[in-house]
Amino acid sequence: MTSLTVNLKFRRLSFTLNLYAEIPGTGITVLLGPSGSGKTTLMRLIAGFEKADAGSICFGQNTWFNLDQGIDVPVRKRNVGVVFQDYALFQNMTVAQNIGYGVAKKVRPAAVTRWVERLNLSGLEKRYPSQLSGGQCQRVALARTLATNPDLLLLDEPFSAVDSHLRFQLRTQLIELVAAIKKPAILVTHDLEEARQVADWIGVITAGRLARFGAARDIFNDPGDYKTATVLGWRNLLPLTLNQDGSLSNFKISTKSRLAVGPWGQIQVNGIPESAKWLAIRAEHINLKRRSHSECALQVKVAGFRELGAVKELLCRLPDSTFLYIHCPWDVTLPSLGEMIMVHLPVQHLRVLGDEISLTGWRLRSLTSKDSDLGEVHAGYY
Amino acid sequence: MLQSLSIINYGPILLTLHLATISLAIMFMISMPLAWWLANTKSRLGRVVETLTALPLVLPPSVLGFYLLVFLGKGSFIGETWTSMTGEPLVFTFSGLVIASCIYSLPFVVQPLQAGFEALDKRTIEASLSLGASSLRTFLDVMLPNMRRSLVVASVLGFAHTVGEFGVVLMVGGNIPGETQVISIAIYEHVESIEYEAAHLLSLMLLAFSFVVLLAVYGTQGVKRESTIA
Repeated sequence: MTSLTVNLKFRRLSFTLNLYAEIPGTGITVLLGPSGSGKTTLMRLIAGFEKADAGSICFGQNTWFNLDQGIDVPVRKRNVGVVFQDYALFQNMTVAQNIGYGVAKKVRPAAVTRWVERLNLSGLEKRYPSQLSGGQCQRVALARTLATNPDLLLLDEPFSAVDSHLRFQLRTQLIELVAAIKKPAILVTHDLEEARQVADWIGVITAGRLARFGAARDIFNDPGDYKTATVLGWRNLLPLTLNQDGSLSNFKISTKSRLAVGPWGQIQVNGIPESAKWLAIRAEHINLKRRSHSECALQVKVAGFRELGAVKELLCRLPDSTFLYIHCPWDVTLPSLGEMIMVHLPVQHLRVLGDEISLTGWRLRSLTSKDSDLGEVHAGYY
Repeated sequence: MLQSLSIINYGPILLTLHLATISLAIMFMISMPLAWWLANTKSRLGRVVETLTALPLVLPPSVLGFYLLVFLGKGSFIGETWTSMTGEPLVFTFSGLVIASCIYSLPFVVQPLQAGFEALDKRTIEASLSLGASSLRTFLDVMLPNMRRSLVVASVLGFAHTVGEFGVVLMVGGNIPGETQVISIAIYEHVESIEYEAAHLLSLMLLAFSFVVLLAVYGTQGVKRESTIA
């Protein structure tokens, strides 16, 4: 397993990238972040298309870049395979010529045949890129890259230019290919659905810094800080004020609305730092009906709704005008606009976040069995 | 008609073609790296060099010719160095004519090439390098084939402009038959000698040549437009 260690500083007019990352030598690592956060720049630095102002890049025992030691291995000698967002196919070459471009002449025909079959491109070998669909172009780009047997695969938003109905299929194909070649891959995207589908590891980049890195399941389940949560699609981020003792009996969602757990039931969170600033829950985890005792209930006013394809989004207003977003199944009967309703927040899905990344891993515990006997944890106006 | 053709002196025509061919070859050698640099540099020096290269487009040929005469002529550093190396002066010789033609026609080669380099998809260059190709292979296999139109336009315009130039040629080369007398100078001399028939024939040749050249340029643009629409 050959891991990639990156420790870089890169500064341009209005942008600074400054990060350290150890990227595992197996599976697909997804670099996720908003536009302009630096994820594509990081990928270009790793590939060698850009030169950092300081730091180093090491792939296993090989140093690709080290400014202090004067090492800067050229792109063509790093043996990285790069798949671009807009395919970057050679328009003057056929599909077969594109795929065989990076392969030694002796083994070229065999490699072309192998990857044409592997990526379902049979019959298209003599076509030019202008005669292909977006999905076919992307498969040619993948085949061209994989045919060179790269040590590391870099993919820059590879499916963003492809029709949405093809993306799922291409991502599935990518997962299978990466597993088959047993080489690490780094995929840059801002598409959460894509990240969820393909990621073994997630690196969240915000403003040129690596905010979080870890196993995809852990990161998605517990974003840890406000910025990461927003990048990962957590819509409900409620301002939080904690008591000094760390108990939740008096903690406030906001100034007007108290999440009153009360003396009869406590949600124990040991050692929550004072820097805790946000209570977070995913929109799909909030229930319109009570499902268990381990839920907090909030009274809210229905402020709007909209269709989101497979789900309906309900927009609710808390007394202090903070909004709660709730995703319901498409077939559920929604309450009327302006109606006051109770919504239920399962405790196991509540997360406490800080402004910075130091709160990683903090989460509210579920009610204990003793607590649950006390009934529903209730919230309302006080 | 045949009788008319017999009065043409083919020396200036051959000399012009010779001059245009050599000048075009030299201009391409200079223009390729220059255009690539201009297309990629963000430095202020790049804009200064771009302006200097484009100067012949707006300068009167007599002004350019005069300064070339000054900088290449007897007593100048370049002129004296050349003379000490070859034993011949630069001005009023074919060599001087080549240098003058290259400077005068350079923007007609550099600018289409620069536009071609700028229009290249940089990702394809990066893709080629990441696939292990050398810079030379990337240039030959990826860059040049994808800027064919710019190469055609640069060649045609550079060649044609050298064929048609008059002022600079007259200033730097003079009018020496077999040495510096190109078509445009020959026409001028025919007119001065009231040999209108010979002047007419040569002028018609240049006119036809210019028409074909422009047709070729617009033809490639038409092909490009069609392929874009398709």
